[in-house]
Amino acid sequence: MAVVDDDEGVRKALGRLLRSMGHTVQLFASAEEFEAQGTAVDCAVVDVRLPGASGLELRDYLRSKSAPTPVVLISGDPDPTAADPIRAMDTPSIGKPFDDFILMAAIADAMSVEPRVSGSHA
Amino acid sequence: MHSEDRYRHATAASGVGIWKWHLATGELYMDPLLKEMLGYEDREIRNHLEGWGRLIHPDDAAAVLELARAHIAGEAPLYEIEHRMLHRDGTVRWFLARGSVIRDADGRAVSITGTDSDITDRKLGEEALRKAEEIHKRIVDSTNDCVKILDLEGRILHVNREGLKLLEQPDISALKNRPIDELFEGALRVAAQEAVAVTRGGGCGRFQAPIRVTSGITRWWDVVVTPITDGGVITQLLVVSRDITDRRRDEAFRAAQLQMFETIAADGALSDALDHLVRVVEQHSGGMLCSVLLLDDDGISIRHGAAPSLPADYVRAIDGVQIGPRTGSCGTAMYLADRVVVTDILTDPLWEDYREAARLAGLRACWSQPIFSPQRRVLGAFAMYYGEPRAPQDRELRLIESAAHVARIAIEQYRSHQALRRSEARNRAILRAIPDWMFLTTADGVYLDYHAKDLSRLHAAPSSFLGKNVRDVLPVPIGDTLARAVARASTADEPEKVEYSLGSGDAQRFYEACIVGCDGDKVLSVVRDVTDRKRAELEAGAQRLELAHLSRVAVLGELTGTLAHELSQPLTAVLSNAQAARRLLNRSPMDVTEIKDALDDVIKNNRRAGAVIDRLRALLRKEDTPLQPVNLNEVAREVVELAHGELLSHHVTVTSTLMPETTVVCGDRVQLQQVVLNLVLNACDAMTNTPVPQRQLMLATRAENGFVELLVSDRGVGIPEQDLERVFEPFVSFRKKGLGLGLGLAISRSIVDAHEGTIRAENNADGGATFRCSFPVADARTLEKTV
Repeated sequence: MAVVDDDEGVRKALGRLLRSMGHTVQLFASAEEFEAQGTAVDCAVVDVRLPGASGLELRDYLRSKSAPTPVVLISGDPDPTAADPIRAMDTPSIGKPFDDFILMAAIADAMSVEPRVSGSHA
Repeated sequence: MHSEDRYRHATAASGVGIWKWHLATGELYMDPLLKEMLGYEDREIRNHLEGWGRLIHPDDAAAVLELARAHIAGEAPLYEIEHRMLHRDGTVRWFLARGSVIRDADGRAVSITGTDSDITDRKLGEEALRKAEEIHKRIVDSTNDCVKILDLEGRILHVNREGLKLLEQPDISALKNRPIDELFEGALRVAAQEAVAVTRGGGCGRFQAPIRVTSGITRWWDVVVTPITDGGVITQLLVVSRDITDRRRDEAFRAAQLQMFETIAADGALSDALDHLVRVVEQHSGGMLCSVLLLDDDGISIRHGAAPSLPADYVRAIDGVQIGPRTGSCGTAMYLADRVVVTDILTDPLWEDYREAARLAGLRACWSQPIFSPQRRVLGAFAMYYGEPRAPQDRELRLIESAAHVARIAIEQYRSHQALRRSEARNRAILRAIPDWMFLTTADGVYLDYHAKDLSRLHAAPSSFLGKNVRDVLPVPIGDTLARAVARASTADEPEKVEYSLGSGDAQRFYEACIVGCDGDKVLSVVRDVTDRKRAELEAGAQRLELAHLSRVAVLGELTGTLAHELSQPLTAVLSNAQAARRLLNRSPMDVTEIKDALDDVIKNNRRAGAVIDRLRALLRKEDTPLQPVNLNEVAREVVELAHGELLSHHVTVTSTLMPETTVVCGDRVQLQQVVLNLVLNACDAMTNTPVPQRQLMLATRAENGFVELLVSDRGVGIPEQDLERVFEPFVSFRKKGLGLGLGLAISRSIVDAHEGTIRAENNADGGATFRCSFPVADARTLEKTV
């Protein structure tokens, strides 16, 4: 699993949470950092608002690859899809802060293991 | 023994030389002693008339020979003469020659025998005495005093030349042998008799007396009588009379001047003061009447000054007349600025228009002396009138000049006194009119004096603070602040200003003290009650605060989105860490270290959320905060943190160029944050259409010349030149979104103004706009005010 978030506190916390779920996790502060690493991951948890390339741009990039990487978008804004609702539509998006099970559901959704879930902290 | 030798023997010791002249042969026997008296040896002078004759003083030779001839002829019974002889050393010797003719049985003269005695010493003594007497006589004759010599009965024997002049006598004949007491009358005659009697008894008599001299003027004399003694016996009396008329008059003038000044100083009328002068002058000049006229401020009208002895009708007739070239004596004198002498009013053309008035008043002669100011401006005129035609004597002209001079001093004294009174009255009026209080203190702050229009409004009764130190009179921090300001003011040129308040609640009053050094070591504090103004200011300040608060709320409303994001981050971290920890607890084996790290991060991020909330709370707070030292660098950093989300979402990069940390300004931290936040958000908005890589915001602070400047610079669209000033007006918004109240910059300016700072906008040469705020650096004194 990969976590891409510029906020160190959030990044560390999500990494710890995912590890506690049994995942192996890699942490990145920006889209560029993640792309540079080039590691194939099962799923990427990506903050929408990032310095440099945004979360949506990273998702588009990952989707464009021959083996698309599933993406879960997370956002601190009240409505994570407000900025670009059409583009965000087919990607699981959850608002911060979220419960662990919401995150699990979103990851599953992204990986199409589970039925699609869309939710928020509300 | 030769008979001549016997003579010589007899007379040798007496300084007398003998001689014998044989008339038939001309042989003249001379005692060698006689020759010795003239410096010669016996043989050096031939014993012959011719040898002796050459030694007789040329001026005396004829007289000596003539007497000898007369004696021989029987015309002179004695041959006795004092004559001069020439000594060998060139000096002249006096000799007394005495001799008698010897006749034969037929009565024919055969010879003359006699003696010569050197009487040089006696003669020189006599000469010296004669010279001394001559000098003495000259002294007596040259003195200004009247010197008389009386016999013991007090009869006048001699009067010196000056005395005759003073008594207006051509010679002594009218006075000779008259008893001196006849010169006086009444009691003074007795005084003179007593003085004579006292002096005759060996004492010294003295008295002062007026004597009316023949010209009709009374003169005052100081008369001193002393005895003249001869060999211890009083033979005559010496009377020295000194004319003290002028001295007495000067003394009277001085006394008059003093009295005039007293009259003036006691706020008396000028005419009363001048009346006194006129009376004194009249009293010292028999039969003369005086007046003082004043020249009006208009420079042409005559005003009555003083004329206590002139008829009232006459005085009234002159009052108000205008000066001119033919306006009697005084009007003309003032017009010409020169003395005018009229010896007969009835014939002088100057008096044509006033002749009748003068005639009715019985005035015939008048001279007038202008009274000048030191700048030679005519102040008035002093006039002397006589009932008969007459010309002034020198002494009378001197008198009128003196009188005019004294009058001038009185007039000037009066005017300056009046001016002083007017200026004092003006000062009192000013003091009454101004509501300020004044306190005079020492440089240490001890109250010396005060002025208060309304005592009841003073903080304390005068008796409770005079003589005490301001530190002991006023509450501690205020007293200390004032005392320090007073100490500073005592040595500085610039006035010190201190604002303070006393009392509390509704009774609280505000004061403004302006403190200046004066009088060297004293300090004057002018204190004004500024309560009303202060309350108005506070009210305006409260409104400003209210508005600033509303504006902050509005700004925060705009920030809600980014603030939610700002809060969501730590909350996400907290929740995720907590849930991770719970999961870790269920695993086996438990990774305790990881659990502990998770909990640490929970705490850390919780605090982070708390800090965000604190910042919000501060900005939303409504009440005023006390002024405090504020570091603008910190303000800038806090604002960048607060606006972090907004900056991020706008893809704006912030560059900070901050000054060294030490400089602070005095202000309200929250309000200053508001200003900077507003400028930062404006800058973000301005760059909405700027390509992302160029969206740069520059924040800079710098300290310069006692001011701290804060600059917020963007790379946006800039501001139209004509609007650079308008942007600070209320409800003028340049923000694209149409968000906010349009009050942001107006509020910012009012906040900056309240901090005694300035804010202005300018466009950058390379695009975008810069907002520049400037605040005075807080020095020790402004910080003191924040206490």
